[in-house]
Amino acid sequence: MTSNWLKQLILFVVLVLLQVLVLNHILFLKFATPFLYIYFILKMPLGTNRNLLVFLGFILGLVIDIFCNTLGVNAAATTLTAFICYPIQRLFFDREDFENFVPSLNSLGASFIKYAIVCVFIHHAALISLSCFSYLNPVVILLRILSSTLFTAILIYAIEGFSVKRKKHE
Amino acid sequence: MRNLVAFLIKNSAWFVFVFLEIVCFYFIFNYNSFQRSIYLNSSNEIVGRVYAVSGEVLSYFGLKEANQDLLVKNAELQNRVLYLEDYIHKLSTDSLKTEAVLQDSLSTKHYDFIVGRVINNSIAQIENYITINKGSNNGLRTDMGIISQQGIVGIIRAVSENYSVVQPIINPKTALSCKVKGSNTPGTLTWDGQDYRYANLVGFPRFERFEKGDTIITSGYSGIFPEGIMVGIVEDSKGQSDDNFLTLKIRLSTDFSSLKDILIINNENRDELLKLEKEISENDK
Repeated sequence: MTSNWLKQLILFVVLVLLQVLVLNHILFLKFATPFLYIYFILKMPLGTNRNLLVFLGFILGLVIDIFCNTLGVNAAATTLTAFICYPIQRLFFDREDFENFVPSLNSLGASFIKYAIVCVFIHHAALISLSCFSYLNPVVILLRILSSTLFTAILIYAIEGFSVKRKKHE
Repeated sequence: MRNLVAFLIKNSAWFVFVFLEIVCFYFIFNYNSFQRSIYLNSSNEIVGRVYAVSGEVLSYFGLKEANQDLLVKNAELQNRVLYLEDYIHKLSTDSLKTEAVLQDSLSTKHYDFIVGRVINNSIAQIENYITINKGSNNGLRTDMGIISQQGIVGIIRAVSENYSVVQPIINPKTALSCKVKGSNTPGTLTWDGQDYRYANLVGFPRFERFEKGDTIITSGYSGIFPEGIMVGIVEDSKGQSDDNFLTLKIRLSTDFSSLKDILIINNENRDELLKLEKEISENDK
């Protein structure tokens, strides 16, 4: 249990640093910026208290906001995602079967991908519309949301694919 | 009562969620009042340290280009010194004129420059901010101007002891008074959130003459920047909705994607200027 939390803590720090030092500087084809830090919420153990999960989402978003000087924007989107990720999990796989279990591509297969894409899309839609709605027109915002979602989803797939390979190797 | 408690516990996630979202939106809509707080932005000590380390590593890349830029700038300044020396020499036959020139050049020295380095820079977001490695310990205050070797960069928004956050001109919240070199009609420089290489000069009168390729410089009206700092070059123009004004598309001279070394401008007379302006606006009331 403790090692599980330690793992989550390391994941938190690594994802925040990766986001603010590398990924925030990417603007692929003028539209897509990956927001991979949301991966932390996707990888929370299923048995986690929902209040705690929402609160962790808020803290994660707030830390990113402090780094990016966008107070409240990332926090709002991440809190939302953390709140609705339970119903989304229920939509794609049976939560009761996996108490205290970390969702992964390895164990859930295609339903993990669906779950990840829906969560990422909701997060990116909230985040990008909040940060751009007064500056850009709706078509550009939509393009940004879709391309960024795709970008983040590919990164998550790559990370998950890597761990699947490693498991097989062992 | 027990039912109520049970209801609250069962739906506690809803309350936590709604409460936190309210906090978030409170942050978003009151951003300006938090902007100067030194805990909730990247000028805080921990974030500054993280960015300083990564900035240190990144500064090794592109040393060659930085060196090249400095050599070019040095050569330019050398030329200017020679030209001015020559000019003074020519005037020295008339001592009265020399006196005037010297006094003139002395009286414009209200601006001090402090050298700093960019430790974090963003161009991919809409509201971009830059973090620099100088803070109140180095004499920085909010509302000081920042320039680079190539031209204008932005204005300081938050200062902690060792770090500061700069709001660059590629942030839609920035509006800066600029003019075409050689004319005195000011327009306002803004950024539309699209491309970090271009900005717009809005409110430029239609009757005013300009050509593509003209240089845009700061007007010096705000007291943050001295007059005549390079901003960019006119690339294109289009009419605004009210036919009397034009919007000029400006290619910015500062390359924000490779910004490393910067100068912080300290206007020693700014306090005086602000006090004077405040007095006038108070008298008007």
